[in-house]
Amino acid sequence: MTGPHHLETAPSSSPAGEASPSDPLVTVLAVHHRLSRRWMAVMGILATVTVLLILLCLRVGSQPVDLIDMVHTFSHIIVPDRSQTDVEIGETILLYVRLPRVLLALLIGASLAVVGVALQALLRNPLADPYVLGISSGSALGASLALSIGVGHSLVQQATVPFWAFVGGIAAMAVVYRIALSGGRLPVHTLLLTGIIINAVLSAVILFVTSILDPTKLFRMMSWLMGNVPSPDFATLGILAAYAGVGILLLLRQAGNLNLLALGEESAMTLGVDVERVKKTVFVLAALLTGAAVSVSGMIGFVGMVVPHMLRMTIGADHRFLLPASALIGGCFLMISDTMARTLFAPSEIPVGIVTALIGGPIFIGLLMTHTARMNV
Amino acid sequence: MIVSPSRPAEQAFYLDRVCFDYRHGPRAAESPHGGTLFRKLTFSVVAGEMLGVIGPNGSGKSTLIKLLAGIVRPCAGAIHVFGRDAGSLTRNDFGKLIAYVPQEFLTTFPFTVKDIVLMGRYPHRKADWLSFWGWEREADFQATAQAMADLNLLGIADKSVHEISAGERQRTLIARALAQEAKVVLLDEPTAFLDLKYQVDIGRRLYRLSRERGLTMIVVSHDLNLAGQYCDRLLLLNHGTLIGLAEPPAIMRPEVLESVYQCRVLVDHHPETGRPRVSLPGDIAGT
Repeated sequence: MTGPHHLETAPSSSPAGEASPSDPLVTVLAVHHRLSRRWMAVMGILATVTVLLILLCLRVGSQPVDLIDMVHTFSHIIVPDRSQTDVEIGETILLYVRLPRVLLALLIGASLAVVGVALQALLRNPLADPYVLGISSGSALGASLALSIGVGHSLVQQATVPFWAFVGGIAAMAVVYRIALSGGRLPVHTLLLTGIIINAVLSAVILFVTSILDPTKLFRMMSWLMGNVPSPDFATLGILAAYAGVGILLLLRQAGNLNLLALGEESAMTLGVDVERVKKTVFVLAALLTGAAVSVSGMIGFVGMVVPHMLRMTIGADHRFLLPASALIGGCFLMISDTMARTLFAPSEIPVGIVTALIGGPIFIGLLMTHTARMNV
Repeated sequence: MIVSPSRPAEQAFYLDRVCFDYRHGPRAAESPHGGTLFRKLTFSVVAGEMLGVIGPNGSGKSTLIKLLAGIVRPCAGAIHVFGRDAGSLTRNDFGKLIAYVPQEFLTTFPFTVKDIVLMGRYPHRKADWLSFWGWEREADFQATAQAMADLNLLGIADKSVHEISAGERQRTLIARALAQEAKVVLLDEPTAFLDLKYQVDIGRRLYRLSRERGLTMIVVSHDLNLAGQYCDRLLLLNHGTLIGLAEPPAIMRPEVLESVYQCRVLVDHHPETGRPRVSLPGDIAGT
């Protein structure tokens, strides 16, 4: 067996210490079972935490709802109670205001976190985030153009807003990537700077377009740019769930590829990864998910960076763990941030983007410092 | 050109008038000689041999390895891998035949040693549900564990790559290449960042693996002595031109090395192995 002194084991001294035939076999089974059991355990715990946090966030608000009442309300959906004619106000708030909003925050947070993980692996940079890289502002421009130039309120038209956000996002991503790519490499600082500039320019364009086309909406547009989770109708929620669900599932499938790409494109290539195809797939999915999220909630920053960072420190870097875990915890993070945004200064609400920026900003700076130190070794 | 007579044996690689220039690559402007690096490069590598690739900086050593690994493609000529035209091989075919060990990897992500060695199993994934979601099967864990045992990594399997030494990181990458179960292992300066102790360690391990498994190993090295000691043959490059491909005593001759490296060198013999040994001149004050 390899003891604690494996470091000192010189290659010549102990051929017996290596490759004894029984060792690997035992380890094989252990590794295999540990891996699959660990996946189940991690996801089980995180899913349970998510459900508990959903209940908690449903409870909190200007009109606190009791847990018992909540159970009542949900049981009414499953078994309609005919005897009760008047619908309680608490029940209405819970079902039509709070629940959709909590679920929406969950979906948006999950999308943004998963996109963050995928971009970080692809760019080999833990600071990548759809907001920091300017993808969100591209999406926002796409969505705001679609909204200002008269996409109406019919369901079909509404369902196309995420598509225009997707187009804007992918254009912004292509521009940032092109500019930052120098000599086949992606220097961290160039990438971040490019993202920030694109962000600033596109935000200015959005406000310019709004003030020209519809000045009355300027204030609403600004608050949307700061990031806001609305209380959606069920149609909006359904559309977003469809986009997010498909996007996240397709990204989860790339987990193995992302593991290899995170260690470098050349080395991934020699292991059989079709690097260009994977990159395109991931970029498209990232823009799709960002577009869907932004078209509903505006530009919420840092979720895609903070959540994966915290998870990597606890469950490791393997994307087969990291992606689904980030989806769950990203959802929770935004849900809690949004709950804080609507309750901390009640009755007035603050844009949730402010909450996530206040949490994410310091973490971003800390991460930038350690990343720079580590890559300059 | 110095060429030793080759015995009839299976060829791992056969390069047939291979040309390569940087014009198609991203570093075209950096190239010092008009973009062209290799012009009609022809040689073959015998299956099972340990070949050292040496030459001054910018002579094309790393590019040659990348050509062999299929990372870059030649602009003319053909590369045959075990008799098959490399142009007709998919990335996955390459992965099953040829493993590539980069110089050193820097990652900010806390992958564990086990995570990285498991990645070597990627070319062996099947068209089924498990592979669809990127998971490995029993045989993959078997190969991974064996590779980790071969390189003495089982004790640190769950450590993050940030917590281990440079020598252990290099061993992790070699273990990944073994888990890949390829016939050829290409190594780009495997000892560049290592202390003396680990240089010897890695050198010995590679030598033993090539002998025990019949692996073909091609090692780029800056260290002439290490290359001369462990390699069956040496390939000497200068400005993309093949100067020689032969046993170490034929290559490591003062007049050959001096003309390529443009500095005076002394060559004597290793006291234990009798292999040639290169030393720098003693006149440190300059003449």
